[in-house]
Amino acid sequence: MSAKMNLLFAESQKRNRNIIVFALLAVIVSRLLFVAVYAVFTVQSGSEFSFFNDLNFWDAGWYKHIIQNGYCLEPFGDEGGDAANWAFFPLLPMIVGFFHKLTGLEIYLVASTISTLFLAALIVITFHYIMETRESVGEAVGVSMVLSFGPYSLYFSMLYTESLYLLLLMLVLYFLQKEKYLAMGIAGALLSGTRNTGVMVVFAVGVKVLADYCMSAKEQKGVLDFIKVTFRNWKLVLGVCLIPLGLFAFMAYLGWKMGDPLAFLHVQVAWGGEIGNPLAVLWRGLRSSSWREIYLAACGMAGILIAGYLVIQKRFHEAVLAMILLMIPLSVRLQSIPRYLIGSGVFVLGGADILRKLNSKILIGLVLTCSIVFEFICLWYWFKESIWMI
Amino acid sequence: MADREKVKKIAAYGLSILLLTAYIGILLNARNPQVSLEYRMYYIEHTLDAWPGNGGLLYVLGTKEIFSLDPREQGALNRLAGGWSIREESGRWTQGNRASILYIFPEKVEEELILEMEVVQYMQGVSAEVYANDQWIGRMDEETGKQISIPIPEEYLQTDTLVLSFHIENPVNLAEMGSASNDRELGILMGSALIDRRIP
Repeated sequence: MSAKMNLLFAESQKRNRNIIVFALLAVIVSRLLFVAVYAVFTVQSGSEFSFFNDLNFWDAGWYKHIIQNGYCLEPFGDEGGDAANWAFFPLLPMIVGFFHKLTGLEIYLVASTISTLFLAALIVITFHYIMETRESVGEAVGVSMVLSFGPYSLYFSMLYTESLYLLLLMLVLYFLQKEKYLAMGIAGALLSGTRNTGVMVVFAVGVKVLADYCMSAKEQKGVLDFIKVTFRNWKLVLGVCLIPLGLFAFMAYLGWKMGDPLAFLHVQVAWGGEIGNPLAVLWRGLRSSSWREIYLAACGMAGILIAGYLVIQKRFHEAVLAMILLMIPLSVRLQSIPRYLIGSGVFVLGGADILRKLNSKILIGLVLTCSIVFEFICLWYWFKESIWMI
Repeated sequence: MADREKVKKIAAYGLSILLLTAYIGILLNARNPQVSLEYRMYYIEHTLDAWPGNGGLLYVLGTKEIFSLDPREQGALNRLAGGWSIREESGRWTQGNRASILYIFPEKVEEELILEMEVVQYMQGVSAEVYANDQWIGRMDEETGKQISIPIPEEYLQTDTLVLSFHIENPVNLAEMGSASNDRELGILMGSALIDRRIP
């Protein structure tokens, strides 16, 4: 099996084609299974068959509102009337809005289609990234399976930023690995215009550049030499400067539109929660009497362990990115932590690294099977609009 | 070829500097947002308990605002600026040692006003010193009764903003009264408030 897989993806001429075919197949089969689960759900619950509407709700409603009305001057959502659509970054609604206008098709149908296509592209780029950094076909296939069939994969096919965000994040990491800094900067600029945490990838770039310098320089010449070498690389300088462009363009727009460039940050008060100690939030969750809180906290703990393993593996930039992307949501609340873990990519990579290290086919098979079963459970609870899926 | 590379380099560094300058400009602009007072207080300073809407703090003299669950309560709900407990059937308790209410008038006030309040209940032994824009204007407790009328001297106003503060003495901790799951420190259950011109 393993030898066949290696053969399939080893030949460099056919590798690209095979990866694309594999990604498309994985995505098509997994999404057909989604529809099948939904069909069973509608029969069981007696509800009307309306797949795209039932797949897209909660935050999808906010993005839909942006597509239909643009950013509003006044808050209008939630019980307190204080939530507003400027909490949501513009790139995804811009893309979906463009294709919605172009085709005239219903917004959720367009959004789910585009997000699913992004997922296919994400699998392709993640495959290449793993081949570049891990040189393991098995791990690349396993991660691709988790992304398409695994838990919380449903978020990659709806009007949520997950698939676009992770695609752009993996592109940044891939181009960083290949030292194609201008392409990295462009992907980073789009990333920072997709979600507020996107700009954080700049720290991963910094750590990678520093780590590469430390590992490659035969003779360490100190901080000044590092700065000189780094700033002499004009592609790297411009690439790094491009990364925050999406965020700052959105800030400039908010400043012009409503007078507050940080409105996306300030409006977070509407969703509650004060910024605090992430470890305290985690500890409270673990000691909670609510099973949901315990589950979310356990996911947070798993995230920390995976980040630690990435450090041990000397994948410092992935570890830093993992910690940042975990600590930001954890500093406020536990909600959505599993979704962020899957949607941040680096945790899936770290988890796959651990499994590869353990080198147990039974364990790998068990994890993949459990992932698929878990995704079906997630789907079921999602269609039931269960609070467990928030 | 070397010249082309040099031009590319200069352009890249130039663009990088341009981008960084723009980022700094946007950040500086973000330090001084051009927003309504309500927006600033609710979203940025977190000094309002509820979002009143832009212009929602405006108060027309003579309007009686109710603190209870009454649907007409919205005006009072909007302008509570910390130190208040949840809404109840008959009013709203002050919580902790200080409770504030914020009034924005359509224009600068240059005359004496009168504050009229209906208290529903005092916790035992609780009293409050009342301040208008940090100036003492009166006291309320069981002795002053439940219908309170306190003049606000002209010299304490002079702007379009009035912050009423209630400095609560001896608020009662419900946990100490035997409520195991409730440790709120309550003082005065306020029913309504009204500010008007003082008719000589």
